[in-house]
Amino acid sequence: MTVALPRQRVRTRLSDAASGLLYLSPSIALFGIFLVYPLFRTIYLSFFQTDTQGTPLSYVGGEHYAKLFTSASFWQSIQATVGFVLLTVPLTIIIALGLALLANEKLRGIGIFRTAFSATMGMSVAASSVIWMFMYNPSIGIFNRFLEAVGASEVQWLLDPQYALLSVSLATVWMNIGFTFLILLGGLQNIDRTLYESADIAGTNYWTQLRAITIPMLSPTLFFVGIISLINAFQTFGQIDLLTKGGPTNSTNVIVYAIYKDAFINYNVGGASAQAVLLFLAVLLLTWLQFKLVERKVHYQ
Amino acid sequence: MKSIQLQNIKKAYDETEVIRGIDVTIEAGEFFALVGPSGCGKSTMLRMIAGLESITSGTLRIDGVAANDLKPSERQLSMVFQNYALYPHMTVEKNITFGLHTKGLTKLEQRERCLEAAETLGLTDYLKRKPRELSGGQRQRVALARAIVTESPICLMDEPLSNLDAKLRAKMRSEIRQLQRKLKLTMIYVTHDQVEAMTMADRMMLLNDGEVQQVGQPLDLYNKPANTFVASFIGSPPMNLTPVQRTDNGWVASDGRLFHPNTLTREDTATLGIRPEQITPANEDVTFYAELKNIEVLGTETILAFDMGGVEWLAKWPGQWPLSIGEKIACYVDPKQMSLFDTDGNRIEPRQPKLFEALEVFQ
Amino acid sequence: MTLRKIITYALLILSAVVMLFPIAYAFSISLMDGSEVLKGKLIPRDVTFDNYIAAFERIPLLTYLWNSLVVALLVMVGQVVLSSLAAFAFVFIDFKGKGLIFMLFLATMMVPWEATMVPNFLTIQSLGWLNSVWGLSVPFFALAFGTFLLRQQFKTIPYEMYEASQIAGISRFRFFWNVVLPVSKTPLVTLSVYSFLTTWNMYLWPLLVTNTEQARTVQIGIKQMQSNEVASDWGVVMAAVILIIIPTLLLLFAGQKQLQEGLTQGAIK
Repeated sequence: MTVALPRQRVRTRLSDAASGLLYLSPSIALFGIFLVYPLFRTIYLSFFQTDTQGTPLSYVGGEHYAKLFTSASFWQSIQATVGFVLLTVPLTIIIALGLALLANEKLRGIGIFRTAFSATMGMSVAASSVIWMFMYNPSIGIFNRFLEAVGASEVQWLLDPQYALLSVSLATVWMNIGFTFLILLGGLQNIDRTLYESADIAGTNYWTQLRAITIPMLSPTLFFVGIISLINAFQTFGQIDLLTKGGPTNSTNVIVYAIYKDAFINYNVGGASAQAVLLFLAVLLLTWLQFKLVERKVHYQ
Repeated sequence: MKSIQLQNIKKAYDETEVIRGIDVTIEAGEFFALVGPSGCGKSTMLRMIAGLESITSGTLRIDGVAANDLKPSERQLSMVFQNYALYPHMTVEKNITFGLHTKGLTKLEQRERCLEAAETLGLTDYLKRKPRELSGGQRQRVALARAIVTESPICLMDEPLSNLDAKLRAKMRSEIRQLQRKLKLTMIYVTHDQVEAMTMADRMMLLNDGEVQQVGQPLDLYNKPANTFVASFIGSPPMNLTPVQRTDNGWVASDGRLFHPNTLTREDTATLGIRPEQITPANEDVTFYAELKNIEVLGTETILAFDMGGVEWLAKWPGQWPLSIGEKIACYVDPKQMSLFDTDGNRIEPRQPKLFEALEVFQ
Repeated sequence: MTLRKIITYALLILSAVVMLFPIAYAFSISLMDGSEVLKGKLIPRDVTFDNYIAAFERIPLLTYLWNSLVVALLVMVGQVVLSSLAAFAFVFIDFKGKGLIFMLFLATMMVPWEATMVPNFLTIQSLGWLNSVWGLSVPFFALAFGTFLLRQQFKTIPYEMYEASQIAGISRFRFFWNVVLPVSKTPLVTLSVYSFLTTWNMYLWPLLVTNTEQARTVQIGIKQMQSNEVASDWGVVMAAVILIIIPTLLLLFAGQKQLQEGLTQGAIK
């Protein structure tokens, strides 16, 4: 268009932009202060030697990163994190999916079961961890009481490096089922009933319908739950702090716990920042990969 | 009462022009219908007048004052939306009065006006209800009440009846028209339904693809369609059209049927248009014979379908005709009622009687 | 009853027993006296509420509960207000760069909060907000997930409603306040429940920014209690555990349906 915009219209446009930014400004300001700034600050600090208060003292380049890559304990924390993710994420989703399929049946009293299955969403990590700690107690906890009853030998669930990660993972799966179940149930209920009705008319059985209708139609929800679970698993802290404190022999020293220890117990802020940057990159990479890999297969309605 | 003037109004989204320059003046107190097929730009046009869309170029004047940059609320107009846009969580009363505070009315005045509008539209008993507790027709009345309660001199309506069933639609047509007369509103009424436009409007504008096809009184558009688009859009069933060639004997369709329209033109090819109701059973003069392909007996009239130069034509005969498919019938069309359109689809004006005689003398 | 129904019920009951066992177990322990706990019993022979009384006596549980409540309510209000303002702008205001800003909002979901905790801790420290409810709440007010969830909802409001209000001369904020918020009750409740639950259950951040009894939240309180009393008094610890999960469990049961519907909408639409 060659016609110049009248002056006043330009002003209204500006005021739209101004008012839009006004509505967004509280969020933008807080994201700026508590997310963007600290993200860049973390990257910055990862190149510095700092004092115990996190004040940068001297530029050390990639030294913190170099140290990490040659440190056995860092690799062990990577190993613990990956192990933890692999032990918790698939299991949580599979169990929660099973429960959601059960709870999606139209039966009398199904509401009670839905409530029961989602209960752990209302349970804090701290409270859950304390309960599991008791259950794992070597002398009076239910697990060893059970082993004793069947005549097997006791297991040091949280103190044996062989079992500790598995034990923490099992507790975590239980804690995360509530949320995952709730989302998957919602996804199942959003599937158009008529799809099943026409499949019934065609005479297909439950398992065929599950494979041909339910799973494809649920795939966007599964995808969402997958990403959220993965990111959450990388951020695990509470149950580690309460159940094992990263031990025994660092076998459960997952990355966030390692960052916490380095920053707030060992006061190695630079090293902690370097690990934080790597955590950030890992989450970014995984989210991106998941998008790339699953995007094509996800069946959006 | 306010008039609305559109001067070379255009609208473009990025590079695409959706309104290609509209000039029209809508007189104060006039019922003006904007008609066209979906996507023709009529709603965009209305929304530009309302101030909900910016005007890319051209000038909009309301009561003589340039209004391009006025906010919607400063244009002294009210609007009724296709989906009514009622606030679902508010009672009918709150829906009607919401916004009146901006006009500086006290609570008492707001209530008075609301009662008055509700009275006019027969909503008095429903004031405490929520929209979802109302029928479609009642919701539509609430939307109307919300428009008239503001006492704005201009009222815009965007397909207000399209969500109602046919019976209710006919009833509301006349009610809206009466309301407009009573309140002396300047009304701009968008519809895709030509029957609504024909029955309600003082004048109408037919739009297609962002361009004005014709502006005028409904019967002008019906009797003297400016082009083949108008001819085929207005009227139900629409005007029959078929290509014809000029010969020494007259105009010939591709199947050899001959017509003598009362028109003088240098064109060699043209499109012939005849309205279905102007094809009548022949008494003495026979214009053409038609072999029936389909018959629909509707009680008050009978619709006959036949082939005309490869195009299906329809004839509408009053009354009930016991005809059968395949039957050959004789049809008559008054030459004065034949329309001819040039190769661009524009109407070729018929010869004026006097000129016609003069020319005949010449020959 | 068909065989299929019987199998389904059996599976449902079995799953429910397994899922609820830890909670029931904790409840059972909380009703035992110390000697029964040490014998490894499942069910108390003599039910006693002494552990609950002891829980209130040994630690300032009421203070912790109060702190958690204040922080959870503050974050809930903060997140709902900020998310709804932002979502409103994303849906109802047109301006250049809106899409880009929205993408940036979404991108913040990919930054693990733990990766930024060191500078955040330092920020809170320099603001003098350690051991205060502000330090516990303000950093969480901006929530991309909440903005996203509400934006999905606001998009379902017919845009004509906004246009009708423009023609009536109703101000933008009034439209937001009197129309958008009231018609969006369900997602607002979803977000509120979600905010409250996640904040009440927050662990790492309160651990960092509180170190006095007066400022601690229940989650940190339970950690303190567990590490101090571990060997001796599991009954008291479990009583405290039951006390701190009751508010969130009640809230979850009350809001479960809305939470499920709201979160699913946010997830896939």
